Amino acid sequence: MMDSSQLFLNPTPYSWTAEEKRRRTLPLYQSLTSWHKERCLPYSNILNKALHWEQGEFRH
Amino acid sequence: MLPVQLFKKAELSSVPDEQVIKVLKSSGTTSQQPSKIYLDRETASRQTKALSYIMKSFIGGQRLPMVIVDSKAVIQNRQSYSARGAGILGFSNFGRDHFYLLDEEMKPDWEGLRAFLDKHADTRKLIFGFTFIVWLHLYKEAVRQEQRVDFGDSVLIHGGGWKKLEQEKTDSLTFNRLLRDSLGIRSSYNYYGMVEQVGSIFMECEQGWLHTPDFADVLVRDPYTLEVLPNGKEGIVQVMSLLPSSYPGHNLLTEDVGVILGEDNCPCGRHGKMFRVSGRLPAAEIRGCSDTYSAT
Repeated sequence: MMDSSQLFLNPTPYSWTAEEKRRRTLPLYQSLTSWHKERCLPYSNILNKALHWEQGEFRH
Repeated sequence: MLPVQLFKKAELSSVPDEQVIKVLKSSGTTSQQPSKIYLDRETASRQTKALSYIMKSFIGGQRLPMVIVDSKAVIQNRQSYSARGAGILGFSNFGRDHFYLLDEEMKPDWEGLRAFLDKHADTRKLIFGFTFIVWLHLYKEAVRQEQRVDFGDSVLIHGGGWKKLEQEKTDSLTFNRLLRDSLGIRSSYNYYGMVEQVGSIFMECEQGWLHTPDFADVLVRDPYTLEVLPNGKEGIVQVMSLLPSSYPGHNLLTEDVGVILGEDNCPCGRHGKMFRVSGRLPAAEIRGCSDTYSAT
């Protein structure tokens, strides 16, 4: 994985406001989810099942 | 978002086996299968760096002489660690001249401790241990055996759950006061963390609130609908961390109950959310390092 840790690891780890953190880190979390979905089959399966659940496939 | 219990039921690794350098195992009591957390070099390195930045904010950057309130036997297998072992190893990076207070039978070495404290009489000391182990094998044993010990200039870092102390009607403030009065431990910091997200721990500040570092966050969700709750409402704690790339542990639904108390306005000056963890979901398995430790 391309190491993006310089984007979020810094020696003063309480410097971002909550809003600034949301803005900076949301794309990084999304990218991590994609990374793991591509590389961890059980994780991908779990997320797919959850998605089907949300879409009503298992709601009977 | 992944329920944290799934690490017990599935092999969740995002890297080929040959890249795994360490496997961490959770501390569950009732499940037959512990969680297994697969670390590669990059994830382990980010965890170490993240923890060091957090610790620097609380105890400064200097390595302090360190007392570990545990037995060295816990960290003997270097390829596979229990959550307790991982905690000890992670925090031992911030100390020097480590002294393990307890033997394999969890009995304190009082003479060894006095010699250590004499040797470092003029220096601030770092003490690390899991909350219930500190309580049972340091504080209560010292009281029971009428041992007079003064740690002097010292800071205790402890975590792993309060359930067993709550059963003894001891809260964080009482814990700190008793340790200060009986053992001279000048300051104590509790932390909230889990083996599934090593490195991105949430430290309790001087005001008594847990803080989220830049690379981690929390949300609180309704236990029935899983909708995100507004600040001030109690619900299930969801923890997020940007550190893990070798396993999908970046977005986890815990079995802990907590509440977000505010954002960016703690008197301690740290930005980000402040929150409190008040316990476990009623049907949840007890699984913290401290809470699963059995004294018998």
